[in-house]
Amino acid sequence: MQWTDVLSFVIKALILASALGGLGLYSSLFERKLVGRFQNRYGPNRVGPGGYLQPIADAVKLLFKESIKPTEAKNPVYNLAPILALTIAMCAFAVIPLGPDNLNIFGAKFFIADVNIGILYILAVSSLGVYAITLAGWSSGNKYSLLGAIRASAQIISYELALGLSLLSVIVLSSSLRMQDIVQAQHTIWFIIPAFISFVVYCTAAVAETNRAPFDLAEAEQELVAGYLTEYSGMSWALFFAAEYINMITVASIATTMFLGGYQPLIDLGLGWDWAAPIWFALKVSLLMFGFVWLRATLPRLKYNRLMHFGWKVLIPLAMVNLIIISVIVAVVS
Amino acid sequence: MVEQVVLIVAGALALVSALGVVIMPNAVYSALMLLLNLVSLATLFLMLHAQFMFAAQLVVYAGAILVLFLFVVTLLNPQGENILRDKRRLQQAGTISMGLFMGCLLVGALLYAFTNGNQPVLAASVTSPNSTYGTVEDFGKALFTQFLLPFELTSLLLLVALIGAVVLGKRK
Repeated sequence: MQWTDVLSFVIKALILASALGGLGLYSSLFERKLVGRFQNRYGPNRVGPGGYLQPIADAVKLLFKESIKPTEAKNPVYNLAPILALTIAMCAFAVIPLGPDNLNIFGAKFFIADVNIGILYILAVSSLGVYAITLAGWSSGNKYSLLGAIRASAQIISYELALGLSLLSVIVLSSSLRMQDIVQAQHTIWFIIPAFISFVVYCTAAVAETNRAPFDLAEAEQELVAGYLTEYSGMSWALFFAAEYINMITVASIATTMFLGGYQPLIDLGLGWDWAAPIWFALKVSLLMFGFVWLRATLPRLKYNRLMHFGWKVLIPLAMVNLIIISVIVAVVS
Repeated sequence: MVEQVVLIVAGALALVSALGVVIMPNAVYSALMLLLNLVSLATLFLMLHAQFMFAAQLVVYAGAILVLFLFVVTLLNPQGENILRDKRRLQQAGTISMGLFMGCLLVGALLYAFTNGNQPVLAASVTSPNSTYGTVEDFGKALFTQFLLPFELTSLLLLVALIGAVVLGKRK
């Protein structure tokens, strides 16, 4: 490896990070407009044509808002936590392929790194996300923040097991840990069909991992003010907010790559339209994002004991049995 | 060249953060230093072509065990437990000299291993282009053939520990 390779990685990472930042902003508009529709109202429609400049107005407002820091805040950690949240949310994207190996713009391919432990890397990075929340809650020096953070970390650790187990059946089916191999293995049939239960388990665990409704106990406003976000304001709050939406995009992208055939088209017309691969990817991701918003608009929040019960006594055994069945079938067939 | 720079930076970070774990004034900062240490060790594993160890280090140690440490430490928030501030001078001296002794032992063992002569062969087999050393496939095969007995015994041990934890937790 040469320093020029490092430079190309850095440039690609910068492009991806800024794209994700923009997408994170606009997925907030996506969600607000959709939730508006679900609740029989318009949603934001004042700023710019049709309300499409609303996220920019929000970002500018938050940028100029004063960041109030409580006197009890433990300083380096308090400032570091939002940055950590955003960084970890973006990191997992490094191995997700947006296009096939032979597709490139000026020689630059549609993924940052094609490592042969792709899934393990994703699991490793997503397991670090809990630190941002725990540290934010602790360093705020507020009881509600600490309680929210502890709830969130218990929830994330519990649902991470189900998440990992559901991804294992994809590994069994594709017999590879490389993301490109997994996408190619779905050329004939998407893994959502043989591993439908895994897909359902993954999506449930993913909603819990991103702390979104109906699993948003960490910021249950009736009991905990805003959970670990209580003492954050202005830009540092905005970073957490952006991290949540980017996390949503990331888990939707992982689900797309693992279960929905990644960048492959729904019907291969045989036209050789390789350039359409990223568009297919974006379409599938937005479909899943729509599902997340739909869940949030429909389901009420779970009680904490129900949440733990569901994670440990329903999801994990289900994922385990499903994994065993799929492994047996794969072993018999091959 | 890039690899060497990464190795040196990760190694230095691992050393500094390991020291930080011991001398930090607050237990939460010690846990954070331990996190930094685990991440730099994972980087070292990656540079040594041990990809599975890299992932396992992050998923198991950084992602699960240390989170539980942090969990307990943030709840209890213990104050002032630190070797450098220990008022009992005898105990402090004992701890520090024991630490230095163990450090010397470790450095001696490493020096012996490096000057023993087996190293170049292993290094060459690891860094050759089509080496499978440290890949997940290789690791899994070794675990389920050559090291099957220790692996199964470890799983039994974990099961016993799990049952023990449940029994202790149930006792009123």
